[in-house]
Amino acid sequence: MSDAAVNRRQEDAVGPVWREQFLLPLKRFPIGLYPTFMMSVFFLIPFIIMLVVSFATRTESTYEPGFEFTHYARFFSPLFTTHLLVSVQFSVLASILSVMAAVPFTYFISRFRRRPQVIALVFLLCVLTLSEVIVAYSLSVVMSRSSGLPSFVEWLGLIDRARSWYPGYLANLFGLSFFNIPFAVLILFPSCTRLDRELTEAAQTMGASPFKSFLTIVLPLLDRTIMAALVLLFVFTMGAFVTPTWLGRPEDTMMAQLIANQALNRGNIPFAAALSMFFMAVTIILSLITVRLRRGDPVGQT
Amino acid sequence: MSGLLLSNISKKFGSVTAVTDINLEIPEGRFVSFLGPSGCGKTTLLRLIAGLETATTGRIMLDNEDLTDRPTHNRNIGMVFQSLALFPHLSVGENITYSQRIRGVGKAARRRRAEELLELVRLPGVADRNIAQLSGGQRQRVAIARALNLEPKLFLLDEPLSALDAKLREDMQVELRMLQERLAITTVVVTHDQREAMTMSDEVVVMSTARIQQMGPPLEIYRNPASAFVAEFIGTSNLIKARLDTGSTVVIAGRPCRTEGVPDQLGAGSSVIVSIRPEDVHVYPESRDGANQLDGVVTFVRDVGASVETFVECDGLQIIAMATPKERPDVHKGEKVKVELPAESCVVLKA
Amino acid sequence: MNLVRWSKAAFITAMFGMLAAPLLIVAGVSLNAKKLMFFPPKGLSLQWYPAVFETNQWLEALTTSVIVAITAGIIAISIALPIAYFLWRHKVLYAKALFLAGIVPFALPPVITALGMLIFWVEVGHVGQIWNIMIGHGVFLVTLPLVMISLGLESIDDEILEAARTMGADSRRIFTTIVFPMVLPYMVAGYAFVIVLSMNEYIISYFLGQHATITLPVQLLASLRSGYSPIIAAASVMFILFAVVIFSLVARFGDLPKLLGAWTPKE
Repeated sequence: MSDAAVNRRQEDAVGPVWREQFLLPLKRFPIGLYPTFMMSVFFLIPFIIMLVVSFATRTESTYEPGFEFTHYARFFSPLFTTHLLVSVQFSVLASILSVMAAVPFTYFISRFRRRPQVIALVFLLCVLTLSEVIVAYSLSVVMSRSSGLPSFVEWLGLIDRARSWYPGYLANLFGLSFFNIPFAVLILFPSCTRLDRELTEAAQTMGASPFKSFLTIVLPLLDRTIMAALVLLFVFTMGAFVTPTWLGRPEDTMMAQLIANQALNRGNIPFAAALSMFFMAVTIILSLITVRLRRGDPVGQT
Repeated sequence: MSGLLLSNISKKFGSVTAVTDINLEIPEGRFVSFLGPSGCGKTTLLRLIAGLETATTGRIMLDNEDLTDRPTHNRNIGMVFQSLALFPHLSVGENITYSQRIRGVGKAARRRRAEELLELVRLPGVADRNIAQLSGGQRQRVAIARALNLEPKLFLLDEPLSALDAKLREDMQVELRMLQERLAITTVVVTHDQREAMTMSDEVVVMSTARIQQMGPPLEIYRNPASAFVAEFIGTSNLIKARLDTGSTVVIAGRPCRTEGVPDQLGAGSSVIVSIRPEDVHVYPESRDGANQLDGVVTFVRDVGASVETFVECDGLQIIAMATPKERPDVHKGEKVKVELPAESCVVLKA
Repeated sequence: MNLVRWSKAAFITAMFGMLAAPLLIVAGVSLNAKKLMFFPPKGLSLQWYPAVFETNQWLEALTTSVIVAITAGIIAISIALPIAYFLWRHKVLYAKALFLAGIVPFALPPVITALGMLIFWVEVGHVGQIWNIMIGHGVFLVTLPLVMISLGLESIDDEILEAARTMGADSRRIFTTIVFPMVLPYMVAGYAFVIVLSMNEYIISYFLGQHATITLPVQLLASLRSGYSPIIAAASVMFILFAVVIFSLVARFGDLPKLLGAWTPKE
């Protein structure tokens, strides 16, 4: 290597971080400008505008520039606190319920032979990607008087007269949990496939029953992944919109509905923006927690 | 000179020195092995020749052309990688003729060449197969055929046979050597297997700790290791602690032993190591007597059919003797024996 | 031991059954002969399926959704490929920051993204256009192809690239002959995921469409509000079949467990 090249190298090593980590790479890879442009204009800038709008002054039909904290001050009003509480309650319960069902389910799927496993995954992906609208609608059909479980229970003679089970608290909770299960499976799946089969086999040679070895070996190894799944599902459920709209009662209104309602029906965009900012801060904090949880996990994603 | 010339090569990764002070001449048509334990720098040296790493200092010349600053894709070398690095999305034939495709050779010509090369590596008729359909040995042949496509001046192989099982590996070593002799192509193989190096090479370059320790024809290195490291790394060796007496006599376990010669710089009384190959050591029942003999007790006999190894303890030193079944000494575990170290087989090394 | 096996099988069956039941019931409802919602259906008829294509508002919504999904997929891939390649080749902070920017949209509750984008388009003065939804979905769903393409790039061994170099390929040719064909299956899988998710996405479409551009899920919920009809069930069944077909194709031509992060031991 020539002396000049050596010198250049040394210069880079001591040069400022932005030069080495940002300017030079972009010079070598100018196509990087395109994703930078797309993500800043259509994602970052909208959030910055939203932050500005959350301080704007509300007018009759829209908003005008301003700098006031009135919208954030409304966080202390019962309108906000009740819905926040309702959302948190539903999200905590729905994430716990779905994870409880998903952990053994995913573990079993990860032990399937390849072909059945692929079929199971295709099925789960279909349920997962299915529009919230369709899932909520399907569940409402199941819980409706004419076509679903209520009439079946009536036919069994367990109740006198069937009536629709939705909208209702339990209907909403079930809908949210149902919607979460395939997502939970996909979060847990990578870690489950990394569990060494021989670990449980070893436990069984030492006298643990399959159930005992699941409790004493599998669950402890998955604890961080399960915690991460709980947090992710909590965030995911907090953002639910269609399910609570369709299966929940008015008093079961959740955060996303509140934001949509304020923005689209009430025309109070600044308040909706302030709510979104709060919501985003909570999400980011929780996401950082999951990243922390996954770091150094023996069976976590790498 | 035609052939490969490395002068004063060194390579540092940050503060770690991978190779240093390498001077090496490989005449055209030779088969050379870089042999050493993992981390000795042998792979780095091969990658420097291929241009996959840039040397910190030194020059690389091939047939009087300076390759040092030439990028890999302009060097026209053939290389077989440790993982074989076959392209999984291309068929066998497309893999073999990739270098022609890059140079714009037409489909029909490529097809013919692929058949030719598969013939050469004795794997005809698989050009349309997927890589995934091949066995380990077949992949090996495809990788070799691929590297030889453009009849490169230099054929480089990085632990090429390590993925094969022991039996197949031995067969491939012989086959690879015969192929190389037929094509008379300058070849460099990196390996950590001394048997492999000795089977295939005209010359072996023994490396450790980033440097060349010794180079020469395999048997010469085997017979006259330059250091205890080389003696132990090339085959097995009895390395016996000794003290230099007058002339070329050493003292082992209190007994004087003659040797053929000692390194010049050593004076009487300095401690040395005597290296002797197990097959050169003779064991006799105690009744016999003669020169260059030690007293010992048999601690173990390993009889594996093709050879017999006798483990003898002589005053705290362990000496292993190896013999063919016909020459099997009539001794048993626990017996007192005489161990003979023939003078012409003892190599005296610095301690 | 038998009891354990039996209860395990029962649990797995129950889970699959529970997840499948609503879809099966909707399929049943879609077969009703009359404009009523019964399960089991009263009288069998397939008339509601063609009706999806014959009713103007449904056909329009379907067309909109398909166009949005196809375009959003292209936008998402066009953003994801350079980011993934950038990070793979140059492990610098810039590339890491871009990668993070590509992960964030999927991690945030979509209602926030929807509102942010709505405010943006209101400020720009370009409301209710189909392009807004295309770009919105493209940016929102970029995470999936990004993660998958990165996975594909990571699976390319360094020695593969070095082998190509020794055979005479410069970095441009290495990209076109080795890297691109090798990540293509991952790109296609990522594209498939974006298409399916875009087709099913509700809230961003709803916010950005502003009643001017209506996608299928938005149309679905609107019709649900105005009363039941087996057309809704028929449209839902078509959605389900669409997803089944796409993911089966991905599974057929790609390694689905690996795409979803399963650990595969090296040979």
